[in-house]
Amino acid sequence: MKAWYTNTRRKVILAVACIACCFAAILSCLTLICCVYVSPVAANELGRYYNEASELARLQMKERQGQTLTYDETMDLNAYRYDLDPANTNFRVQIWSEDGLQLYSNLTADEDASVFSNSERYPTMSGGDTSYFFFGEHEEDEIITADTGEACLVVKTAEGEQYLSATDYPPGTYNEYGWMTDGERWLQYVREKDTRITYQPVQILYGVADPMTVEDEIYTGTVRAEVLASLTPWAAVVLFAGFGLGIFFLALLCRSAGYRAGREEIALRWWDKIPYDVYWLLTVIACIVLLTLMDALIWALGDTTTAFLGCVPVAALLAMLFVALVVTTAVRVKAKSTFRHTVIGYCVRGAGRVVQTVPMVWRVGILFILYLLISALIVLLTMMTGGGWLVLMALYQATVLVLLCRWALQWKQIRQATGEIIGGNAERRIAAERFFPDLREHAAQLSEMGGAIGAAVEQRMRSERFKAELITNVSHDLKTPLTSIINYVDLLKKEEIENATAREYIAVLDRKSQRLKKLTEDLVEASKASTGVVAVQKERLDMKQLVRQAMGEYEEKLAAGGLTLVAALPEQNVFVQADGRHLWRVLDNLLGNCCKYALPGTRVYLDLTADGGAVVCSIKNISAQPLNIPPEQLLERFVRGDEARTGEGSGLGLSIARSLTELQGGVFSLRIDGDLFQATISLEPFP
Amino acid sequence: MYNILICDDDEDIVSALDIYLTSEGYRTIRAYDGAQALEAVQGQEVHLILMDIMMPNLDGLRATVQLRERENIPIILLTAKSEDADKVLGLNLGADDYITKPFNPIEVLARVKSQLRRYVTLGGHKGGARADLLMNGGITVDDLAKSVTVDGDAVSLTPIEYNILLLLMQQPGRVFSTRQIYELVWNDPCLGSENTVAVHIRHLREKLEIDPANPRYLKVVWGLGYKMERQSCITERNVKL
Repeated sequence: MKAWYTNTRRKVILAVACIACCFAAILSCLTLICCVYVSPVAANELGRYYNEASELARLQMKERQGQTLTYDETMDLNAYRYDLDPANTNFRVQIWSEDGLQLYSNLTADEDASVFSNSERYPTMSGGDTSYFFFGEHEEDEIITADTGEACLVVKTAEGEQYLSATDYPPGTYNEYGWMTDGERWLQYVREKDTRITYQPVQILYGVADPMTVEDEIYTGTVRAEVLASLTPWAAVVLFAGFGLGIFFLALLCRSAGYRAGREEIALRWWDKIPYDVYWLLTVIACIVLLTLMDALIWALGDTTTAFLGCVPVAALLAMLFVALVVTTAVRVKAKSTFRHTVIGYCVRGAGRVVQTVPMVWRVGILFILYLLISALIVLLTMMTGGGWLVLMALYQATVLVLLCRWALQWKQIRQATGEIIGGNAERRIAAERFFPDLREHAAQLSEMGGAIGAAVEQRMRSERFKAELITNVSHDLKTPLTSIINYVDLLKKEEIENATAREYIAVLDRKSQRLKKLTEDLVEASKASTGVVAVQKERLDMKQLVRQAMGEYEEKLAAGGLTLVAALPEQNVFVQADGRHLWRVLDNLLGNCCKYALPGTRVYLDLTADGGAVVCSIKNISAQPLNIPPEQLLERFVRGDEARTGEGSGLGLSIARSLTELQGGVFSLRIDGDLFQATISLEPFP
Repeated sequence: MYNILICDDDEDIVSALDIYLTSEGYRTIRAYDGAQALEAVQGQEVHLILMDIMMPNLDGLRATVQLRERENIPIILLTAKSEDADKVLGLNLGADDYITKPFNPIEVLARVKSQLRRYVTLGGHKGGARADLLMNGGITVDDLAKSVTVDGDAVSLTPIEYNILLLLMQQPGRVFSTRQIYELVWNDPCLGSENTVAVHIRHLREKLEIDPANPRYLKVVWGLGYKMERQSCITERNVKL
């Protein structure tokens, strides 16, 4: 289907066919209009003859009454007699006076009164009329103001002029000349009261000779009406066919408009590049010119076939203009330049750009003033020229309303998108190409922000993953060579070595490699605990039970170090929600520290309380080495009580214990008072 | 004379293990990646495999899966990855034990011995033929004779320890709180003597486990109690032969 879109020759043929159809439709439309318009033509002719006949009879009557006719009247009489002669017209008329006297007749010898009953063919005339003949017509009377200041009537009679004063007559009556006075002025003239004028009723019968004998206007008019009537059905058919086909071709033309061979985008011809409103203006002017031309033609040539033929080129031109307008609209719509490429559009955009440079608050003010001005203008127009402009006012307000709604919708979109970005969907983008400039900028900034947030989140996640992988990889890479070191040192220990110094060295190696092993394990654990990589499986467990289990594990070790464990546990069970393994690890660390660093021969106090809103477990002991340093420092990694950095511990124990406690939502705190060392864990109870 | 396959991509570790095992009287076969391990198993009779996980060509876990399709040989995984998830994964895939590096060579030897015992004396493990013969993994409790053996070696326990072990062995996998253990074993209401239970459990652990710090059988469920972990018996393993 698309192939023929670009075939210019076919498109031209299509265009011609379309124009032809439109042309045919226009012509048939004209024809139909003529049919409707022409048929009363015969009625006009009848009217003319009717008037002539009645005037003829009246003049004849005047003659018979003995009055003299004026020169004009005599000429008219002769003309009428000539016109109404049956040899010159098909119009038949008889005029009878009230008392049965035939005043005029132009029936031929072989015609009778049946002629007068065929005027139903000319339904605008009723076929028989009662009319009045007026005699004694005179010039119009005048009213002048006399020198005395009163109104004076000047009547014209056969004898001459007479001057009548209003005051001479009783008020409220009509005088013999048909004038009424109120005693001071002459008020009105009524013809029926004027005694100078006499009238006589007559009856006028008229019709058209059948068959027509003369080729007068009635004949030609009737013939033409019949011709047109016979054309009417054809004209209707042509109209519908032309209309239908025209629409079809027009649709095809529009579908294929704008495509040219070899190019993907819409191709604009020179007429498509004219601004749309200018194009419309030109088309409207051309149409007005053509229609005026057609009107003048008809007026000049009358209702003749020549006039009709003269309309043909006009119709063709109109059809071409119409098709061209539709096609260019189709092309513009496809190229999306319908409203953009208009003079008004450019003006508005230019104004918009100017307005953009103004700061926002001023801009609102300017727009509002503009709005008021245009409203005032429309109101003014309405007041000056009538209600027609009210429609414009309604349109204008509707446009403003539409713009406001559009702004509100765009704003709503922005709000929604903001909500989504905050809610976590940082990838949300708004399609803001069609927004108003301020909102478009805002949307762009929002997108940037969303992008920045997304990037930051991405970065953070990557670094977390990296950290987790780092711990695993590093621990693996540390542990593998360490394994070999420990193994071979162990093998060395098994070897028979005589050299005591060598054995001593091997012992040192052994101790240090074990230390290294412990340190590596602790380091990995501390890293995992502090970055939260370790898995926490919380469940409901009994803290008292756990403390007892820990005590059970450590009782002998503590005894071996000369330490006595004193425990104070509550009566009832104490439940918390925590990860058992991690909690054990914490206690393990703390009790282990007691074993390593407590002064032998002292007591270790372990308290568990569950009063109020927290479960608190604290372990107190006396330190073997002096300890008067701030607790925070002790919690730092690799800091141990004795700064000599020898011994078993790695310095990570408290750090791990704190991280593990905090991972489970608890609080870990230290208190150092001289040599007293107290570690406290507090967790939320879980009933 | 047992054949033990040592598989690790680090030559030094393989050498060290070789020395340890040979000094115990085992014959060793060396492999440096999973593919070589599979080949070695095809070629000769192997009684136990010590396998590392992180190896090129075919890693330890995949090799385990492939091995298990045909063989029932005990596999002990050696690796630096000490996450619980890794351990569980390894054991689920069919390994019998899991040792983390750096390891204690003595522990490795003990575990090797334990696994071999269980594998070789396959015929003797019929899985609870008598009601008073309780078996779980390598631990066998004969209630008739009141004797306890771990991997064939007899272990002597105090009466309290024996009773606790019996209680836990009767329902492997069930968690007993200290209070319950006390009441069921001492037949007295527990009045603050829970410490005793903890101490006895610790003694038990030291006697039964190869590595008391990382027990296999007698596990502490912190905050809740203690349990005897249910071990999968070699005969129970689903082997596609």
